[in-house]
Amino acid sequence: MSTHDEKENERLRESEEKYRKMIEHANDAIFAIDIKTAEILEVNPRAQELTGYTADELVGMKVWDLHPPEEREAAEGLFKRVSSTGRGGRTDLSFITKDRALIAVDVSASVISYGKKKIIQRICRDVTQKRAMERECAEQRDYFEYILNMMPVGLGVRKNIDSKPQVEFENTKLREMFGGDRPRQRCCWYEKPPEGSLPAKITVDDTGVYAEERYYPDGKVYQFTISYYRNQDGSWSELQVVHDVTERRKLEDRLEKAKEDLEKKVEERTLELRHKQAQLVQSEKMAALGHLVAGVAHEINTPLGALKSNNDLLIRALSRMRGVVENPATPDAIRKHPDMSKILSSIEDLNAINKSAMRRIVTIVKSLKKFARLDEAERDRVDIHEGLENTLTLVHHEMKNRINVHRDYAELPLITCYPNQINQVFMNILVNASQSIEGKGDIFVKTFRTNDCVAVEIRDSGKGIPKENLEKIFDPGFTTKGAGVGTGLGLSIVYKIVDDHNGKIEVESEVGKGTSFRVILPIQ
Amino acid sequence: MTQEEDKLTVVIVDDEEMVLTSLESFLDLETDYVVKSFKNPMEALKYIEGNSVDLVVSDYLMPEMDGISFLGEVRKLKPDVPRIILTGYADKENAIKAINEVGLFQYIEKPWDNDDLLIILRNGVERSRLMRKLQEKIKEIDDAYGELQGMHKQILKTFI
Repeated sequence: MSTHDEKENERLRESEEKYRKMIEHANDAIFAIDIKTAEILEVNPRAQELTGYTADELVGMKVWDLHPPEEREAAEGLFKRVSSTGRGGRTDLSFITKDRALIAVDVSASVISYGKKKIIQRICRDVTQKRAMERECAEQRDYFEYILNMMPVGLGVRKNIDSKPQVEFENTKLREMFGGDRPRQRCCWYEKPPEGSLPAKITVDDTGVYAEERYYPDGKVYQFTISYYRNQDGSWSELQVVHDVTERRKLEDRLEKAKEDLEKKVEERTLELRHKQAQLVQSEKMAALGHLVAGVAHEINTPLGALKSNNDLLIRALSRMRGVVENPATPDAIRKHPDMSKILSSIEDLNAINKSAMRRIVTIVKSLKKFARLDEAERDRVDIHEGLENTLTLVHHEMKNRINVHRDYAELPLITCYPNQINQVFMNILVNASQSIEGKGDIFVKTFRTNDCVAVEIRDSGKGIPKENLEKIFDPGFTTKGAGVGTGLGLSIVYKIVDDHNGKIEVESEVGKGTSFRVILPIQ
Repeated sequence: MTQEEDKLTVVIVDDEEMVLTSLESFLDLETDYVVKSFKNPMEALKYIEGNSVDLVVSDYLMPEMDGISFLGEVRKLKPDVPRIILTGYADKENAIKAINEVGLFQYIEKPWDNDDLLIILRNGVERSRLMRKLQEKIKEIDDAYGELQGMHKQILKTFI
């Protein structure tokens, strides 16, 4: 044996000793395996402790005898792979201990030189506790995932959104909302955090929240709430919560539409009510006017009767007195007195004036009575011209010395109507016409027949109605006359009355030239 | 004839003094009627009951009693006397209905025309006069008939 060999032997022995010491104290179970027979050659104390077998019992066992039968193949496979290739290998297996307990082990095998020969060293680490923890973790993860998947909202997390966006998690609902045949553009992930959604200064725990609603071509409406947050490593992630609000939107749209419909209906009803109210006010006014006219007619007619009769009596008496005075038998002192004839003449003249003044009062009171048609409040066949004339008499004071009334009456049949209401129509139009004329002017009243209707056209040379007001003139409450002058009800009443008679009312107007109203009433 | 006309009596009832005066003055001037005017219909009824009357003219609206009721009462007292109503009331339709109920000779609207009034009154009075004449003739005939009957009886007595 050479010195070199001795030295070599010495070195080997030392290293063997070192190795042995190391494995004696190792925390993993270590088995030395015959590379040819797969028999256990040697074990460390930890191996005995872990398996429950003594070293004597273990030595000579085939390496796979320690594993349950279903793992035998894997254990044998590892052995064969390592022994044939000489390269190390690793696998997860379990031991059946002497007490028939199962221990999870992480097995790694490699070929080492042991003295002069090569053996397989098998290091087995007890991972039972680690496996259990892993299992528990997985179970917990599954549980949370299960809960997240059960949620009725889409939920997704994407990481590294500022560098290399990557989906970290999507729940079932989110995949359902965007998966399958859904078009690509429905992708829920933003390529970049939307502008303005990130605060300028961000610390690790800071989050920016962004919300938006998107409409899709198939009618779906999704509401996105996205939170951006920075991770410990400085990268950005986003958490996206997506609600399917399609049904809610539909309901809201329906509600909105219902609201609009309701508002429209309310508006219509309001207008209708205002018309009705105007009509009510009108009929109340007419009733009040009727009572007033009845009272006035009675109260005026009595003293008027006396006045008229007295005046007539004076005329008769005076005429007789003149007979007496002019009788040749009357003494000349009376008959030829210079004052006599003068006095008689002036009394006669004054009586004549009184007579015509009283005739006018009589006409006005008659017109008033006929206008209110108190004796004919019911539907009747009437002469339209009579109504027009009565009304013209009553509005005479508005026009006197200022407005020339031109009449152009055609032959007309009697028409069936409520005469007091129709008179009211003429009255309102005539008053408006005379009020529209500043200073002197003309009113043309024309009647004519068209088919089964009669038409009354009242045209004035007044200031006219601007186009923008023309549509509104029949609305209740619309007035241009200023507070206190008009009620704004006149023409709305006209419209309602004509409408009630199945008639039509047409209006033409030019600013500066005048206005023309045409009332067309059916004969029946 | 003249003697008879002098006796013609017209009763006028109106709560308005001025109407009574007007009518009275006019009838004084134009006719020879005796005009009896009353402001109160009850007093008028008392007079009519105890005197010979040829015509009654009454206002429609009066505080104590309306003209229609008043003329109804007159009809009960003197059915042959023509009754005329003077109305200033605007509700002509109701007035005419009421007039037909109590059977009036005529109605005159206020303010009245004196010529029309005169014609209506004259016609009324004429009717009244004719009615009275008719009654007188009937009475004469009755009397003559009674006389004839008496004579007939006497003749029979004489011959039998």
